[in-house]
Amino acid sequence: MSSSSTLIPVTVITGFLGAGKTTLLNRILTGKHGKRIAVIENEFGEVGVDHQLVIQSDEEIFELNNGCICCRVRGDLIRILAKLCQRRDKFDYVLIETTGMADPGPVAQTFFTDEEVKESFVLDGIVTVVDAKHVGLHFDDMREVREQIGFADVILLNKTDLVPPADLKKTEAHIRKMNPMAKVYETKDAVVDLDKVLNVGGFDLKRALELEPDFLEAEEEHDHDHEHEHDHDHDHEGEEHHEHEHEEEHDHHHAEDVTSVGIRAPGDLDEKKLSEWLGTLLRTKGQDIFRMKGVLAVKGREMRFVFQGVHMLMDGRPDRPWGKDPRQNTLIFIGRNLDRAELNEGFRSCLAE
Amino acid sequence: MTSNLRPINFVWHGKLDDFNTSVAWSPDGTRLAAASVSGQVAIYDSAQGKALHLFEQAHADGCDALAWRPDGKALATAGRDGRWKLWDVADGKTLTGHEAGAPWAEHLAWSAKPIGERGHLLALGAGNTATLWTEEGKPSGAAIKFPKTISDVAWIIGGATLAIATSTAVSLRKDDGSEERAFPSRDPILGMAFSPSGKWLMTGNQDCSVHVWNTDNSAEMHMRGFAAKVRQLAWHRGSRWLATGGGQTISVWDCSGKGPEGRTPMLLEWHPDQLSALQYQPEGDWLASGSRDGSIAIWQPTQRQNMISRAKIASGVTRVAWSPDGRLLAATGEGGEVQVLAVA
Repeated sequence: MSSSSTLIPVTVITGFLGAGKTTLLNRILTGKHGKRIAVIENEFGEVGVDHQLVIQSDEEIFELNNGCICCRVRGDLIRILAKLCQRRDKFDYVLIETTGMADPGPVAQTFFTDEEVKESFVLDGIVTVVDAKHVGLHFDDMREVREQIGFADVILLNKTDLVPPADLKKTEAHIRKMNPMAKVYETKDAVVDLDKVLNVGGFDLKRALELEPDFLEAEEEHDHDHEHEHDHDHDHEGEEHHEHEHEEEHDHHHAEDVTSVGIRAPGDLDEKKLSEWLGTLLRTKGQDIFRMKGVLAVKGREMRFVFQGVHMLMDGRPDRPWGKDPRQNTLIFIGRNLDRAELNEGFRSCLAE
Repeated sequence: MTSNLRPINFVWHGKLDDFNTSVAWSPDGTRLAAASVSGQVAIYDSAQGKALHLFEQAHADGCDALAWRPDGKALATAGRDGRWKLWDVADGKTLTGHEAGAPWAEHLAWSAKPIGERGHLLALGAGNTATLWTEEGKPSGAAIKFPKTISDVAWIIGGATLAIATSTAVSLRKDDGSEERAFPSRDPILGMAFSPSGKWLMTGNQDCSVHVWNTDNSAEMHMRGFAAKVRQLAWHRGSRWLATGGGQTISVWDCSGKGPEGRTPMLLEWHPDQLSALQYQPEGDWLASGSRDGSIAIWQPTQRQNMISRAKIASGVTRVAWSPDGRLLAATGEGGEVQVLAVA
């Protein structure tokens, strides 16, 4: 426990009730991967196989600092992981299956803020299982579904056999607009190569910028298709405290409340301006930002600066020299009600003279 | 400082097959029970270290709690099979066993005094359910449900008042299970320790703080600046000194008068790794500490010569426990070690 050398990777499986989380879980447990897996399943979970290390957990949110959304962690996971650690020679991977209603934010934040958890575990990725047939209905009325898509590193678009190809394309396009950072796989009965869902390094800075090459294209499309939405956002600026009621009333709009903003631009950034902008952004908008990643060119620095974050928590450092690669900046934000124009403007204000 | 250390006698040692989760001396000190995460429970003769009983699978998936019935003739155990059991110490047979009401049964405590007509009661904490059981292992009263998972269970104020900690509050219960008083906390509570006098309630919290309540007037204070979560809280029998872990350094707080807030604690620094166990002698002034590197120290914090002695076991210390007479110290390890030692 004390002098542990390697961190145990953890994969979180989210998805709405009936999407196929348990099917995926059982597929992983019975798959050929040579891993000894400990499973933390939600109170309604049903791991079908006879698996040794299964712990049921009741979701318990620990609120810190007056309940700030960015300071919420999962007390049940902290407790269970600490006890699991006492048997760490018995397993080398952890799967956490959340309920369909779970907010992935506190789950992820547990792995970045709790020192005891960080000492032994590393969050590898969030895998969201989506029911291709029914998700279209839930985009609009289930905030949880949109959050789970927004937080994901990997999205399994499951039950594709039940959906006509044209509808599937539409659904997939919709998901990619919400989260162009995630890898999306079409699956039937949650059949997927296990190396697509395990050890994906979703929070690993070294792999932070393995962004889908077309993530900006998805972005641009988004711009054209949904210009009305920006107007809408602007109209209601300053009414943030009414956000909830407002959502209830305008279902047809809020389907798009989880969006992504991608920025790619050449040029060097002013370090001081950059740190002020990011600092202010996270402080004021952190609760609406689910995930962010980026690689930046900072003026006077030979090394690329890479970062990734969840809500207000950001992890960043220089990784390697630019070498012959053109110096440019690539960033992506995924979150709720992101203001594209403001993010772009903020970013541009950091460009060095 | 090292020159005046007193030598340690390694009196005897035993070994369980995995991480040692709990250790407890029988009330008369003649027996020592130890439990492991593999589910093993051993009862040793404390003079020679002979294992009188070894229950290989007392609880499938691990035993987390041990508690001697006050008459010393039975031992209660609870574990990750969601059950608790009562064992006859003379013949090693199971007297009774029950579902605890949650996947993991983690907390056990016998009242030090009889509770009315019901005799000594065993309090069991499992998930968000607390239940009470008689000396014969029969249920006593209805289960008490909490909104959050129980993080600690104790009998306080002379061992007759039940205290239950969850992440959001410490709740004191009347004999009928109803709430007598609550100490709510904004920062999630991980563990609690009432002073023997009952005046002070201390909790270790998720944000690496210690919260302190003066139960006379419910005034609440906070102590911050710990390097880690404070999972070790040890009271001196006189209720004046509280030792806390939370990092590599032990802090000893003077709780006389208005209490510890604003006072500078005595710092005991030596352990090269994080503290994992702390306990004062039941009837003496020595404090035993254990760390995750296996180091063990015995201190007399109020003396100029703070450290009395020190020792090491083969793996990280998980628990330290003084015998009732304070002569022997049991230290248990992550590798299953059960080491009994004495200061020569």
